[in-house]
Amino acid sequence: MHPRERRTNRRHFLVGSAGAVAALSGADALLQAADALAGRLGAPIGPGGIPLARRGFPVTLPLYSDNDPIASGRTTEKGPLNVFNWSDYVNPAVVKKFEKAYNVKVKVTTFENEEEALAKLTSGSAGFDVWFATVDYLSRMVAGKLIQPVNHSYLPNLKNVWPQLQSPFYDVHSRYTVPYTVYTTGIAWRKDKVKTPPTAFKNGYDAFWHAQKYAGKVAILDDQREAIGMGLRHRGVGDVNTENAKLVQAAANDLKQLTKTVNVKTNTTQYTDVPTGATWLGQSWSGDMAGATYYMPKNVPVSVIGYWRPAKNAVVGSDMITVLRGAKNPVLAHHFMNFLLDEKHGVENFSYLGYMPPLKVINPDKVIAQGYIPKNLGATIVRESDFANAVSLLPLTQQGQATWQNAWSAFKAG
Amino acid sequence: MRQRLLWPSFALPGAIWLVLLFLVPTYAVLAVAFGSVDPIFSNPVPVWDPLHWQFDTMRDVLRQLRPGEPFWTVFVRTFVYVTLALAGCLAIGYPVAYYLSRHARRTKKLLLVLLIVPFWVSYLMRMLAWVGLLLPDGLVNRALVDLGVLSHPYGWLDGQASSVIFALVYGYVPYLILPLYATLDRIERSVLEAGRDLGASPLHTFLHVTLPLSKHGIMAASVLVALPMFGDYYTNDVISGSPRTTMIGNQINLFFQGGPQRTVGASLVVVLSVLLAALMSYYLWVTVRASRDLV
Amino acid sequence: MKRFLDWWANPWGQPRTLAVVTWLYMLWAIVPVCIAVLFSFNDGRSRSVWQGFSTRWYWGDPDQSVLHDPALRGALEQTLKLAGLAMLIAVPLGVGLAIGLTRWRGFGARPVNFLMLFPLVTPEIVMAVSLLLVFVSLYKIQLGTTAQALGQVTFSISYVVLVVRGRLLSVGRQYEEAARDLGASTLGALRLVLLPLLAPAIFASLMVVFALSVDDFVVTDYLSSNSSTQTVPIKIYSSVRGTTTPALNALATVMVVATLVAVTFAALVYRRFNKLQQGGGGAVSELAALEA
Repeated sequence: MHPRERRTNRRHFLVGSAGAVAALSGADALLQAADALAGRLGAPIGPGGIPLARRGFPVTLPLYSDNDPIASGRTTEKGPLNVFNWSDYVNPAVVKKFEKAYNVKVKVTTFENEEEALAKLTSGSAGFDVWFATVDYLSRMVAGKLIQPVNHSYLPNLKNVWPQLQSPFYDVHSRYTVPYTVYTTGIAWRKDKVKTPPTAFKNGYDAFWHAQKYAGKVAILDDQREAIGMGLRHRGVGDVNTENAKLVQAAANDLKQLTKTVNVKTNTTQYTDVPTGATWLGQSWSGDMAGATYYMPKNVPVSVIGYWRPAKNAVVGSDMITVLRGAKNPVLAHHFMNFLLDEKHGVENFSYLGYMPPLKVINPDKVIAQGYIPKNLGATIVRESDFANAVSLLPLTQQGQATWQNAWSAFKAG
Repeated sequence: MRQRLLWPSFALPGAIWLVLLFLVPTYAVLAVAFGSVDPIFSNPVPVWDPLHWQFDTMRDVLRQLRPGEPFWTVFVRTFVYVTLALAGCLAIGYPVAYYLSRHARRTKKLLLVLLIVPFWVSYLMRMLAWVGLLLPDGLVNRALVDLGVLSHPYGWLDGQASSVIFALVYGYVPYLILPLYATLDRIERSVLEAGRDLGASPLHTFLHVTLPLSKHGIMAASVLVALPMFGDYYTNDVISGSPRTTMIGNQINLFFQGGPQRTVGASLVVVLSVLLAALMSYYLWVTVRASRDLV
Repeated sequence: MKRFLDWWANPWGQPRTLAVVTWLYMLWAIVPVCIAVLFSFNDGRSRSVWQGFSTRWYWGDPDQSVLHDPALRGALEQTLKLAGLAMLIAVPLGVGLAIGLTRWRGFGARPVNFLMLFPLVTPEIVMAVSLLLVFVSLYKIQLGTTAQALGQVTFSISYVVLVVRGRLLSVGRQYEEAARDLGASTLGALRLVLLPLLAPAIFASLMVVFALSVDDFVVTDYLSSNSSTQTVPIKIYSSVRGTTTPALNALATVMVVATLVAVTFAALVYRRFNKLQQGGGGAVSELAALEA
């Protein structure tokens, strides 16, 4: 689940569409090659024959002859630029600055969950130029030729990005994407209520299993990958994309224990629950906690909130920006992506979102000193080293999805 | 000849609609439960020909229904919640229906109107109302703390079975009272007066005349309330955020939220429907037997 | 006060405990909803602590009020749109079905009657799942407003039949037969005599379908596609456990008021034409007649 999905529409249903058919036929020619490649690399094959990205097995997304990037040196279009983004996921002030700089209008259409976005994009008639994507859907969108490769001559600001994300493991050489935000999944707590926070344990996740005193005030994310992933990390399992049924079941059983001992709740509302005190110890996303100041009730200082994630092998996520294949303003789209990667604009965006862009200029200490993030929430900032030593929740095969879902169902049965 | 076809032709559009959008979908659930899954996009692939039905998924589901397995736990819990909630509904609803039908005079019209109002207030609005009241800083907690009953606010919304059952009662009792009232209303005064004339006390009349006569209505109203309650999942989602109180509807919902196992969800729906059909058949059998006895 | 004390002291009067229980039940059933409505007028952001009176959540607040927040207003519009579609389609189908079923003497009448009764006792999740699966796998209908409307009509038809059939049975065939004796054709008698007599029931069923559609959650949720197809119940369901503002209460209040107005209107119209039954009374006895 993406942090921006607020349990609005939970219908993760891909209605059979033209895009799906295209995915199959288009990738046919390359299926053999992709298969061989994946076989050598050992990565599982995803839909359309493109290997599922794994940290140990970087994926070079295929280029198709009928889906070329735009030529270099073209003139910028007049716009308006059509942007398709998560709701509330870009600073309107930054968008206005872009409009002024390029003398164009920008129209932002929002979506609330990934399936909704995909359904709209595959229906073909949407007419968007820019789309903010996630790793999950990248391979499907490439196979279905719904996004176009990017032309780096329009993206000089890519050099501002962390080196490891200039050519990320999910898109080697950044053929189709540029990075947008990075975030971690950690544990937030109320310092004034919880006397045994994650920082008091060698294995920070243990805090959940020792929170009997705070029964009823403990929450984990209502997402099977994040919750069971946490269970796996708690057990010291490094591969949070494992499809080993025994491991996954064991992690889910640990979570079941939490139901018994601390009456754990499952939700995705920690961004308000922890500030208001409805939850005292909750698994949450870094970007949510960075914005805690806004949700604090009167008379309660933000310094009561703490956020922790493991120093090594934290669960990390990242979002990216892409250009759609049928874009009417591809050059403008590139300029938009470049604009957001600019150091000043990136930081301005960060201050609005709470989710940070992977820009070299963002020095965690400076960010705290300048007051963008409260000192006690410094851990919400993702450092380059965190990302390098992190694990990511990546797409599973169908069998793997079934394994995880069964474990989750057993946990949810109570 | 034309006359014979006239009335059926009126009914035809509606009947066709129900066949296409109720009967066929019911069969589709079976076709999906006994079908397979598309390997690329994880969509369920229904198998329409019963001869080609695959029973692996159902076997798996039934295996998980054995005592001790997760689905068993959830089914038992759902059964318990529905039974307790139904008991609560009857305990509250029967006296109210009885009073309305037998005794209220001048205020009867007013009471009927008041009775009907919650019937038309959206179920979720009524749940919204209680969530607002049961919040840590809600009126209930503040009143209880002020009165000294509680030392600090209680987590009514933190996975409490009692809260869920309470919410079920609150939500469904209007659907019970109206049919009960209709039944009790139809019991003739003369029958009761006959009882009294023969020397029975009011309590005796109630126990041996009114109650047996209303038995039928009680069963009908209970069925009307219990059947939808079995499939309820949103009450639990709204009142409790915890896996401790999940009902079978929640489990079904889980499998339809994504992933390659909608066949499992469909299988659970089939199991639930069979269970409810069994209960319904029992009810119908009792009804038929009772009406035969009356003759 | 004195009358109350007298009534309380009278040992031969109406049963006091039952009366008290009934009135307490009425309070219990209605007061929480009234409190929720009250909080929709809260000046602050809290749903549980009163901070003064204000209409900001209805139209005052420039970003978050029902009028200005696109998500809330969209939900309201979608709810009303679906209700309109459901009324438009379900009522004619249901009226036809009711007339046909009541008059039909032939072979198919009993199975069709049975078929009509089934949606009434099917749990919503069963119906929602079955519709979802059949739309995606068989009919290839895209999820969204169309699918939601189709689903809502499906469970509404039976209620229309119940409401109209009650009236049909009490009206009887005599008026039509009189008209036919005076020379009208069967269809003419139907059009000129029966339908006008049925008018209050048809009107009542319109309002019943409106209320059912506006309150429906499960079927509408399962058949929704994205945020533009969210209705008010869906919005309430997804937001109620988070920290929402009283704008949610305001949205719910708007729908409740609309429903109550519609139902009251129907009741008054029905009563004006029919002295015997009142408001939902006809539907009530039909509901109770399910046992038959």
